[in-house]
Amino acid sequence: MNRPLQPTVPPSTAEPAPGDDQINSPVDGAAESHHVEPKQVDEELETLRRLLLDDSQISDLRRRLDDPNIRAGEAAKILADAVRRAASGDPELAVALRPLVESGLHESVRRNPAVIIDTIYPVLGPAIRKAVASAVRGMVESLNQVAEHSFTMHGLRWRMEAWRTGQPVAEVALKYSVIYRVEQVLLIHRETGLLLQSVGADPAARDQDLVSGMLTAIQDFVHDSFSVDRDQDLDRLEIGDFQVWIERGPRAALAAVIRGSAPRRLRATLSDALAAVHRDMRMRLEKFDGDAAPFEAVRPALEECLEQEFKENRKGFSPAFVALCGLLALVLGFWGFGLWRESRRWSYLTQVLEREPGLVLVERHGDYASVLRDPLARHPSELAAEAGFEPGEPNFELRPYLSFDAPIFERRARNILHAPEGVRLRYSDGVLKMAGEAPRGWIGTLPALTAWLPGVDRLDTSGLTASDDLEPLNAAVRRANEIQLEFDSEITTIGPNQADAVAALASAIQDAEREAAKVGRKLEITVVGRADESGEAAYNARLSQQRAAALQAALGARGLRSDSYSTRTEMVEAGRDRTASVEIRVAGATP
Amino acid sequence: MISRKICLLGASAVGKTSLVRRFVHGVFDDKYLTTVGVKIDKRTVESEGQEVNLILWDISGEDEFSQLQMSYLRGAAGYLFVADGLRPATLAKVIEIERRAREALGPRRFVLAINKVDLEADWRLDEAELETLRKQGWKLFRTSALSGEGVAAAFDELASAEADALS
Repeated sequence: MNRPLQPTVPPSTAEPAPGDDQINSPVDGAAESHHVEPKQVDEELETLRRLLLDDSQISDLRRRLDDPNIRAGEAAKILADAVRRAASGDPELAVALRPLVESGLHESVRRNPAVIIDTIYPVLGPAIRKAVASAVRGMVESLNQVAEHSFTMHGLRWRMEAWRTGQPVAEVALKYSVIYRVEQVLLIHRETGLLLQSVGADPAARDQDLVSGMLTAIQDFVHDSFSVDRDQDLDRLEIGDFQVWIERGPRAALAAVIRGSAPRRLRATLSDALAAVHRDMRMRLEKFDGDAAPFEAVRPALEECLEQEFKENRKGFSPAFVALCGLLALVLGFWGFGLWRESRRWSYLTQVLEREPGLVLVERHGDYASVLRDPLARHPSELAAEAGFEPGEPNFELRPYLSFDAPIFERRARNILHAPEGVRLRYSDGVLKMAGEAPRGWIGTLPALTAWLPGVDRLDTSGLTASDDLEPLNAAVRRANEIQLEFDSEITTIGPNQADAVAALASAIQDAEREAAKVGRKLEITVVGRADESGEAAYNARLSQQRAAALQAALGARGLRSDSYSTRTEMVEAGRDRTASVEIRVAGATP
Repeated sequence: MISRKICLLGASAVGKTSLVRRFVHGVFDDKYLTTVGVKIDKRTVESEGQEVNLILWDISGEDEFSQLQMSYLRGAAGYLFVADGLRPATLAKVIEIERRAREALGPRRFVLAINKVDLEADWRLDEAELETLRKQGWKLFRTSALSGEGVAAAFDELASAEADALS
């Protein structure tokens, strides 16, 4: 159904179809001249015979070979054609000529540089302009980046770092800004706009063949629309976050699709890759027929352009982080110290409560403590204050109980029994022992009273003495203690006027000893000699000693065993009585 | 894979973009949107056992306001000229463009699609003129972007002509 309007005219009768090469190569012509017909054999034999025998022709040939002028002239005629043929085939001629061309150029520049300068000026001018322009653009780009970030948090941080490290701000800014990724690299045939090869891939990108074509079309459009020079090209496109950098060679162009902001040096990478492609694929680029398969070979070169640079990880920690950590450590420290102190206080308080009679720590939760307390025990708050707690801490819940700790029990027994001052109590293992002196009547009430004291298994009152039985002894001791023998100054002997006093004293001592024996007590008797402080101390000491000794001797003379008495000396103020006397103490029975 | 750059050329509003849409996407839309600059599309076809990528450059039609940019034609393997069967002037435009392209870039393979065959009853082309073109070796196709008639054949001709040239 899809037929042409008319049968197609056979190509042989048509004009040469567009695009057909109709150029006859010189090689074909040469081949034809070697075509030999059999009928010509005789003519050629004739010619051969002439060549061999005709002397003039041989000498002509010889002249042409020997004469350099003639040879040079003949070579000149074919040189251009020979060079052309050599150049079209293989690169050997170029290799052979290179040293000559180089040395020729060198010589030319040495003799007269103006010729070369005039020759290359048209090329050099634009090239230099382009290089300078790209350098300036690079600088402007970096300045723009810096300006853009000057008043942001980044900017401030970069300034801090620049100040800290001594680098220029621009360098620091660039270091952090250059974050980019070459997503895709397209190798495009310039003439046709066809895609030769591509590496990398961006799922978001359109068909790469189309991208390749569009880039070429855009290029053409720019050229036609702005009628710019052939060497001025579109270098870069920006589409949203993407940039397309285009690097052109004579036959092919590289388009790099870049996300982010790439550094200028990427240009050099692209340029190098493109140069490598041109070097390796020169012939294929010139004779490109639409088949991109051979360009697989340049993939490695293109892949080198797939650069990427990530934001550099900051080394060390930010001051904010350090401060935060410090704060945290401080808080933890305080908290930990608080815990430690709390636990120290509690362990101390627990120990103290354990030792303290009449208090029992039942349980504890945090700041709360439940304590059993005997009404006679100390308040636990006093102990808490000693342990270092603040007033009101901890929160005690007190519950009353009866303690059988000895000190508390003894206190309770004393209260309940109304024990007199001279009575001592000891409670141990259910036995309440009492000692000391007490009225006989009180002692008699003890068995009944003790019934009110729970925890007493047995009452031991063997250490108690009824104070009524001691009265005669105490009276004799009081009498003896009241008698003083007086001495005149410097005198140490007992005068005859003191004989009654000595007799009364001896009688009192004898009464006391007798009464003591009755109630089973021992007496401790001390003879005291006194001197006043006037005069020399050593002399006074000797005086008081002699006075005590005199009384001791006098009592001995009265039949008392006074040598078993101890003696003591005392100094009295000047003017007071210089005396000797006896002190009797009744040794108490210990419970 | 072989790739070919094919340029669609012709006067404006002859249906170049519609032909591409029909050929590549299989759709037709009778809204007219003028092409500015160039639109590029692609379709892979099989021609004599070989896959060929046709990169279609749909170039904005030439009219009194815009001149065809010859630079778009560089490197093209072939042209698909499009004329409107209803407007004889568009055929003259094709002949003119072909001449200019040949002068600027040398001879290329090409075919001529005479479009809007769905409206063939109203065609006003001079049959004699078409015959002259055929005699000059032009390959003519009657196409319709609306019905799809002749579209694939015209493009396939360009693809196969290239395959011939290679082999």
